[in-house]
Amino acid sequence: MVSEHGRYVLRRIAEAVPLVLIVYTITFVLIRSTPGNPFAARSNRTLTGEALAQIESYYGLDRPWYQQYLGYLTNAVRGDFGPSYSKQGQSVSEILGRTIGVSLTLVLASLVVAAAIGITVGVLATQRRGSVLDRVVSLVTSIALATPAFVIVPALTILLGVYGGLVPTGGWDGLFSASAVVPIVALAASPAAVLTSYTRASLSDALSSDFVRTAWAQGLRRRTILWHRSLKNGSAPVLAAFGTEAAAAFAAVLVVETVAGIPGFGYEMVAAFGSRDYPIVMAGTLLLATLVAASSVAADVGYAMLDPRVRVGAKA
Amino acid sequence: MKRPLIVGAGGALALLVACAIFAPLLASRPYAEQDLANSFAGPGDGVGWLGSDALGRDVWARLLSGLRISLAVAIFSQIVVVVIGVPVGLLAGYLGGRADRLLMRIVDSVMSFPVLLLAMVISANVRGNSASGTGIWSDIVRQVDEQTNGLTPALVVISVLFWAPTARLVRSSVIGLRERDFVRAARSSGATHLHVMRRHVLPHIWGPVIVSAAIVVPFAVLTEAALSFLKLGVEPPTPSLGLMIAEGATSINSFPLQVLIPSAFLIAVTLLAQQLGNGLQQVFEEGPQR
Amino acid sequence: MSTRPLLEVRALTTVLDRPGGAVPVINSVSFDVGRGERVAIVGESGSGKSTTALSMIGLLPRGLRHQAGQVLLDGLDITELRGEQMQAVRGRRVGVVFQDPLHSLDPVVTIGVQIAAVARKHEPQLRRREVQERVVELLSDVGFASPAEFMGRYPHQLSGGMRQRAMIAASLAGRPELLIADEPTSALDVTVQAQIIDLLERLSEGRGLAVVLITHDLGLVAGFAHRTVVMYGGTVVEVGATAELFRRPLHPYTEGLLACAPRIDGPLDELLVAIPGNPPTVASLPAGCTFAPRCPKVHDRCSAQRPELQSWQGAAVACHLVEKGVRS
Repeated sequence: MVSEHGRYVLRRIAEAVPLVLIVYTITFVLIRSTPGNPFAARSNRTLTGEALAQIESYYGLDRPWYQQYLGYLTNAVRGDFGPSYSKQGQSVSEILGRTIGVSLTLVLASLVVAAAIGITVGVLATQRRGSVLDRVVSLVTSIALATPAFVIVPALTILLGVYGGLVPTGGWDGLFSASAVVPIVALAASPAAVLTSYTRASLSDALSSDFVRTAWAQGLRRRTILWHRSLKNGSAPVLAAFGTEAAAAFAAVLVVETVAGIPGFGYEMVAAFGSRDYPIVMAGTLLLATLVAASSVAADVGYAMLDPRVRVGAKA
Repeated sequence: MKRPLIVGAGGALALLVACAIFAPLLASRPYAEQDLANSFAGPGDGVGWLGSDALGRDVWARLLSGLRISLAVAIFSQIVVVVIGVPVGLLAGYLGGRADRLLMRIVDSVMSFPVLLLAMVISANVRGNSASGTGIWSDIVRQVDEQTNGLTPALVVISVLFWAPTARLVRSSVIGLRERDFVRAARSSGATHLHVMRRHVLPHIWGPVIVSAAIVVPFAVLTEAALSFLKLGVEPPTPSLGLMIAEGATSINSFPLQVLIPSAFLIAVTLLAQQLGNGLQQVFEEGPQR
Repeated sequence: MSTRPLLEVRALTTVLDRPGGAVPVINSVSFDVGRGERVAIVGESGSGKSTTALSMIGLLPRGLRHQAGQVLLDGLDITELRGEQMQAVRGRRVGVVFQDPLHSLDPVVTIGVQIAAVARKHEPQLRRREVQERVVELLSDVGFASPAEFMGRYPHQLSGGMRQRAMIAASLAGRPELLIADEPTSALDVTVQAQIIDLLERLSEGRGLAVVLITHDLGLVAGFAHRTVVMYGGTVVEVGATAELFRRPLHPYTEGLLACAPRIDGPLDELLVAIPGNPPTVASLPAGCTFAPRCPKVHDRCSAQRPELQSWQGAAVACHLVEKGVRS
């Protein structure tokens, strides 16, 4: 079975690579075709003529576009993302190294929290279908889905920070400090809500299915039926949903960092849009596209591992 | 109709739409009028019934105008869904084979594209062209951006990305219908593909179209709000709910209402749109499956 | 050895809860099954035969509930059991085989694991190797030529017939005394149907296993069941030894049912016989005899009063026209 698994994984990866390239290409085209000077902001004098040409040549901007396209890509694969335009003297890799840890910590922590809450609440709501708890969960889930992250951050900061004095209004003091509370909640809200709905729906479906009826008829223990048979069947769609939400979380962290003033790579990237710092933008784009694609692939592979019908059926 | 969800959400939304359309008539002052002497007024303190913002502008007036922006975006997303999503889905489902596979590949790519990233990149491009571009293309972009009050990036993103789920749903429907007897009967009696599509297939796919159109609305509204929040969307003084939240965030410590009011509004609008979508989904899923 | 029947179903009534009130889906169903005996329950769709099976083991779907009657397994009323007590009976004393093995088996677990789970639950003292041996033994009993190979397969990787055999193997893993088979062959090809029925007969003879076979197909019943229960409109209309029932049906419905089945040795140009009309729905049960609206021998009394089930010596009939086993 290992080679069959392996083939599926390779196939999914092969399908994901073009997607990353498409994102890169589109971003490259749009950015490079933006008129205006990325270096205009750097000095007080207007850069023209020879000075401009010198700077452009220093940064390789006078090379033909296909060279720039391929060149950046090949360098990036080796980990060299070029120098930053706005922060003189620093390479993008340096900036990346400094900040990516914060971003990744934030996203992963949020996803873990979301999964823990989402699945637990989903299971509880299924067991107590129609009860008060179930209805409250529905309501909270709906509101969570309607509230974007950039609203949660200020709203929660007001509640806990301005009125409660429990959290600072920005910044990042590490994962286990008070400053992590608001951004994690903001990032985890949507995935938690989605996972709750999916778990509830999926588990309910499994519990009312024929094979669970058979399990009852066979005299299996209630505990076994709930945790082994139902959960195993119900978890595949939940995993797929988790993959989508993880991808969305990687994108949402840009906004959250900007709003909450967290010094992660997302913050740098949004700032780079404003300051026309193309290498940072390109690096961020490649990174984001790769993470999104990786989440999808991981979710699909997980699904295939849980549901044997997917693997074999694909060959037919 | 006896479905409280649709009636309730639909009714509330209809009310909001009416407010948006008649916005200028419903507020005491124009949304852009500043009154620096009266900035940060509380509700009922002189400037409109929800108070004023940092520049003394009427919050209620700005909310209503922001609603207009959201409405425009929502309507635009519906147009995109019908004009792009439906034909693509129809073609893919009906033609099948390689055309179908190719189109579905495109749909998959589009659906996995990070929305906000594209929006930011487009916004940078549009701003750049507007500000310092020369040549025909830049002129066009500048004109369009001005006419749309800065909504261009949001609208472009919606056009490029938001038709995909509809295409997918329509395609599934069509595939299911393609093999049904009445379609085969029509074909065997000599009807052209186009005729069959128009007369026999089209009437049956309105269900998925309506549902996916409804589902798309909250996403479109939120995308525009997020973009405006990052100051990459509408140009001030045009208010968008997202922009109002961003502006309010600067005075979060002293005047929290500046953030809370537009936030609550945005959440309410999104929630109503989502509930309407859910209600419609229930209607069409429980419908008779022939 | 006890002469008491293994299974006694007494006046079992199951109702459907509706806004206007509860309506009976099966009404006062009674029959017995002796040890090692094979009894078939036959009837059209909607006659209540499947509901009877589900009511017996308490696995009714939402909306249906047990209202009256008892199901005595060796004297123990299993309708009164709840929770783990009931789970101790299910699988261990009564096995069940359902109609659609594709959806009735867990799709993400191999059939070997599913069968092992049942064995282990009812015989927890078995060690791993012993459980594996049991699974292999069961699989070969139900006709798998190379059990070890099939143990690792998933349900969707098997043909319909093999799936049903796997389901039967799982239902026997707890060594039950009674097997309820609810339309076990309806989802299968005709040739496979005969194989499965033969298998059930073989298992019954070999292990002294009592079987209750629910089916709408009279052809399957003839060589298989010792006795047959005929149901119509949620009630039992006739019970009798299969051979006798087929030869001399007492109830007009049974007579009509048998006449409907075309004979392979009959004349080729013979018109197919059908019972005119439609069976009653749960919501529109007639006041008197449920079959009265379609009965060719109906009398006034039939529409007014529901006939009682008269039983004698393992047979029974519910018809006003029949007195003490003789039809007037």
